[in-house]
Amino acid sequence: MNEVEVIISSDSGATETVGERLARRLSPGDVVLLEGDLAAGKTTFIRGLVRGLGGDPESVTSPTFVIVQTYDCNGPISFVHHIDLYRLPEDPSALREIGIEEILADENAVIAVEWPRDLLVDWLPANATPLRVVLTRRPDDARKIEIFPV
Amino acid sequence: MLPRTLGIETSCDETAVAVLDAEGRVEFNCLSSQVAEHAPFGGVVPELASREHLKALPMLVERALEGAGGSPELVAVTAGPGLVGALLVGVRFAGAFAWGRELPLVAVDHLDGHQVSPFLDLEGGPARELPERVLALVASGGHSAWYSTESGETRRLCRTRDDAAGETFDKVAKVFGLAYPGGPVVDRLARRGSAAAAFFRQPRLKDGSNDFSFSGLKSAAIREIRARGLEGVGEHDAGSDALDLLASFESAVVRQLLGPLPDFFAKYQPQVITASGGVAANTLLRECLAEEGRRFGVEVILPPLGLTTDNAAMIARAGQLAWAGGRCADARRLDAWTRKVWHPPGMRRSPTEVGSENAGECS
Repeated sequence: MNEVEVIISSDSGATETVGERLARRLSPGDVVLLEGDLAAGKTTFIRGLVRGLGGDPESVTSPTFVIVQTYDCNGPISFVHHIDLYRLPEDPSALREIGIEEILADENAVIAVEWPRDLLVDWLPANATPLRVVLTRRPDDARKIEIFPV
Repeated sequence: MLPRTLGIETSCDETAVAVLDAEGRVEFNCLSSQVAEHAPFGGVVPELASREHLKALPMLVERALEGAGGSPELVAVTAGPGLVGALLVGVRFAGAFAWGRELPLVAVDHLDGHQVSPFLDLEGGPARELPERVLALVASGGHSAWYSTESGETRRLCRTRDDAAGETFDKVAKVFGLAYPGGPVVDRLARRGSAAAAFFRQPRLKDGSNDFSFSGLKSAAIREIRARGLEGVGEHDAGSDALDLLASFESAVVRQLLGPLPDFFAKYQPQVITASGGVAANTLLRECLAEEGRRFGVEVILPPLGLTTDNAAMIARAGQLAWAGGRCADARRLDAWTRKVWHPPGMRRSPTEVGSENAGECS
């Protein structure tokens, strides 16, 4: 899939549904990079993703403070690793310190990253399929969601 | 008599070490960010890196052993929730220390630690005994939940579905152009504003639960900041419109945190109400809680301001109480619990469960 998908989401429920639908296309080891300003709906999107993978959407909360959270899922994808780099120092070694290599190499999981960095792509295993999801808040408060391959 | 206890906390940014005596007096209490040679960034950059904990911990423990009134007889360490690499540094260090000195080791839930912090004193007094029935709010950068404790059994009554209260302060403050962490600066500025300026609706969850949801409030506050042209205004240029908006936002956070209190009070009939975590330092929250206490005719206990945020004194105290309850871990086998920081309601793993997994006898 090489085309950019653009979806307009009117509320958080709709954003969640877009995440849930994306989940159906994911395979173990896939990486989803979520870009968007504060309150764009990144965590909401991941809540839908986890629901779509048979996990408990209620267990999805903001990982800003703890940087990494993992949710159990049901099916060939056993986990979602939810990473939030918002608070992480810019120093490249900080990524290694949170165990990014280990997390990205988990072949049974989908990895969803909020506030990703260019550097992150260098850490991905060769066979990983990174997807970029860009969420933009419009003046009317709807969210534009663009999904495109890296 | 309880054992003199060494507490170790490395669950997130702070490396913290404390020693409590037999009566829960704080003999030593130190955070790495307070130690000059270890705070090149003034404590602003979070100390996420495990190696930072690794550097700070031996030095702090050495100071603790010099500063305490005697040798520790028990080691208490935070085993979760938190960042797994950071937790492991504390857990492994505590395990080795306890094993080497042949001391018992207790694994502490970080949130159990916060819940005992209101009963500690930083002025040299002994710790207060925990009453039979306690209703406790924990609100920080990473957690927001109410707990009820009855005869030593703790249950979580509600939690946040998305962002933590402290995180909401941080993120809204950032859009205003205010310093990190956002809580203290919002508190300071909101005192000069009027909360009547803007009204933020309280979230109503579809399932009717008492759970918090701060993400909608964050979103609405950011929308208001932009609509009023206040983005990036900063502390020094904050005019009355900014101060009013901050006061309105702060009041919405506090209203939400205290929203379920009447229900919980009626149901659990606590003897005391407590609040802990960084948000428990907020002036409005402290005032509103005091008022609720008067209304319900029940004592409200808040931690000393120095113990609202993460610290090891609370971990040492929770460890002492767990030890008194006969819960210990095997120093050679204790592991950080899990990468998962939130367990579904009723599923939060307690030190008891850790004890059964890492079974060991209290020596």
